[in-house]
Amino acid sequence: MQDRKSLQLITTAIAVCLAALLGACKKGPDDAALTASVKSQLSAQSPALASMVNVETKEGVVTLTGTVDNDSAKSQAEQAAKGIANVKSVVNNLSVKPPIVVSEDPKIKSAVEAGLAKYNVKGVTANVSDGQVTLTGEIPRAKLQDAMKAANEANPKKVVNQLTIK
Amino acid sequence: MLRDKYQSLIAMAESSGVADLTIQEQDNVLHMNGTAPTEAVKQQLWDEYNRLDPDMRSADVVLNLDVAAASEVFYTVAPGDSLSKIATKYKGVTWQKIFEANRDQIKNPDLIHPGQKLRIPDGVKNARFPSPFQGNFSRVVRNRANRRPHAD
Repeated sequence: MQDRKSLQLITTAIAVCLAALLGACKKGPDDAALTASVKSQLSAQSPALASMVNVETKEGVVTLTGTVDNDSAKSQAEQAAKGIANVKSVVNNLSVKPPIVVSEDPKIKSAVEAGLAKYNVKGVTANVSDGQVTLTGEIPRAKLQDAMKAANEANPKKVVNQLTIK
Repeated sequence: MLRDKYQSLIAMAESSGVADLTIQEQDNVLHMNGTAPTEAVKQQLWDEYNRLDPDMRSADVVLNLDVAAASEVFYTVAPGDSLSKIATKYKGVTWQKIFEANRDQIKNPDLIHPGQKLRIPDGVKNARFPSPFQGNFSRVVRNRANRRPHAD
């Protein structure tokens, strides 16, 4: 009588253990699969973004870490993760690089002009507004890179090339 | 992402020894800053950018590259030297390039003075003239030094 009872107990215990083990086993692959899905979704949208974002999943909760260029990349990654089925929630721990600060317009303008002189580019006018350089004028194709170097090396927000290339 | 569009340019910058390389996309412009080890590396990167955007009208890149000061080579002008003669001592360097790099001290490319220290842009010694023969070489050419090897 006693023996049978203990045997029953042992059997139950084993069954409970097995169930727990199975449960644990089941949880593992699920999280790994979710991580893989999030990663492949990121890669599909942007391989560069995928390479900057680290993905971890625990019990269906996806955590994103790493550093990205700007807020829009941060939210893009979050949306990509949220769009995966069976993701319970997304913890977005991505950090964003501090924004690039450019010089004031007159400083940029004089830097572009110094660059144009350095690269011996003639016939090009540089207008600077709100950190953005716009090049106008007419140049031979052979001088296009030099004109662009002069503008780029003033480190503006943007270079708009409206040059007529002969 | 612009990083994807300019992936080959980024990969080239990362693999060609550009120091202090920073890459950041902001307001739909990809900013790349750094110091190229040589003028040639900088040019290679510009050529790649130019290949991806042939007319450079996309207005989505700011490629701001310095060239490492260490790559600067100086040459001290010896009696009888001319810019074109000096140029032959370096790989891929023309007298025009030397003239451009030294406009601060050369007004007339036909007029250089012994003792002047000229900047040789991206100067890599030409293997055709290894140093043991350099003395000989300059003596041979000295006779022609008064000729102007380049038109004005």
